[in-house]
Amino acid sequence: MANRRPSAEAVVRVNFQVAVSVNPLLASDLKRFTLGRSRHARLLALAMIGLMSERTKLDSGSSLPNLAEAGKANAQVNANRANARLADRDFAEIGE
Amino acid sequence: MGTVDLIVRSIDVGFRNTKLVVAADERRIECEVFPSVAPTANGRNLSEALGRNRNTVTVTVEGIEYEVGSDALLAEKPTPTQTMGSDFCLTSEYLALVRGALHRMQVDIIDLLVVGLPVSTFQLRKAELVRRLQGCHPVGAGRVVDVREVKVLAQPHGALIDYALSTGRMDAVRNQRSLIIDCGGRTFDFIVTQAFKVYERRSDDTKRGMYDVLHVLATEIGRALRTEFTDYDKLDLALRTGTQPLIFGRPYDLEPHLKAARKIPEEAVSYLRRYVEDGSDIDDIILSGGSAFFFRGAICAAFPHHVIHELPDALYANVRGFQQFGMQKLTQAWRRSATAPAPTAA
Repeated sequence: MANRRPSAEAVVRVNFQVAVSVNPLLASDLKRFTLGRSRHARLLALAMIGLMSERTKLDSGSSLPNLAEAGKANAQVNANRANARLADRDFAEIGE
Repeated sequence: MGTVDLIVRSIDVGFRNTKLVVAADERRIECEVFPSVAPTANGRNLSEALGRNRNTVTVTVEGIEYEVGSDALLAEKPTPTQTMGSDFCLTSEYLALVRGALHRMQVDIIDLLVVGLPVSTFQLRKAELVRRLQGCHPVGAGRVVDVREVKVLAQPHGALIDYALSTGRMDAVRNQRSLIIDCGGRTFDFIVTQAFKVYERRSDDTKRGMYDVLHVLATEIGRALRTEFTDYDKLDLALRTGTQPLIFGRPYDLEPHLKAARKIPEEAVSYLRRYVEDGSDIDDIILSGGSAFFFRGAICAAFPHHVIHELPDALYANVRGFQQFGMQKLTQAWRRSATAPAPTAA
């Protein structure tokens, strides 16, 4: 029986190259793997994480403030905030 | 040792939306927004007659009553007539918006109020605005709010402070040159900073905002349908949600008009490029403002070698930065007074 190739609608074909000078972080991560198949799997995992992260961000409305809900309270919680401090020099530079 | 509660609040009156902080502590900043329209109150409230009050408050400025709040557009004429000049902060409408925001805060005394101004009017209007906002304000419903001290910051400075504090990149910001772009409703503001210090000659604003994008779209639609289309908010919502607005009750495809609308961000970025060129000396580009979603593409195209940091809830980035600045400023002032009890700025 002949091999049945997936139809054009069933796959998205991407020929992928990453230049070390343009994307050093991604390139160094992928270079940890020597096999193309492993790099492909790692890239797929990173892309899915990125996609889900982006979706989460959009769903929470962070990038698209919904003005239809104008007036609705918007709470921001951030653990970094409690630790970071403006110093005297910062206040001076801001224009105090 | 006892504690003293000091109230810090912040307002960012934009040409399109007024953003404000209604509650805050070290870990949480709660913001609200309402449209920057202040129609004169005429006592006619059809919503009330139908059994539902409009979510607005009536505030008095120089003897004239203005209706301000989330539902103010319902009281506005079909084509809102916002004042958009450089002296906007000196108008009665501006003060009405500030008083409407003060009303929403539900406090009687504010120890420090932090507000913002566009880059081009910051030095010119800063002192006048402080004088105008300091003191007692009637905020409707028989209430008065006493504002004890006022600080004015350039609007994009708020976004930089928010970025530095909320992303944990304070040390990085202190050692780098940043470009902060605030995509607003009517203006496209930008500042270049070394640490937090502004390069005034490389900072400016241009009158290219979301309002202009919507105006181009409305004009194009009007021309195509041979009508006078003025429902900018419907177009705004459609662009933000990627949906087709209903015009004459039918979904309308905006795609054919988007090329013309995208000229506005392109023009704004061209203006910016005159100040920063290709940005080779800029380490970080920070994007804020409620219109960032539509301007992002043009900015990314103009600075392909940079990572563009778009702040979450970009609409509130300035006001969040103002609030953090104010809270830390008051805490710092109290720390210097060794004999005073420990403060809690909120």
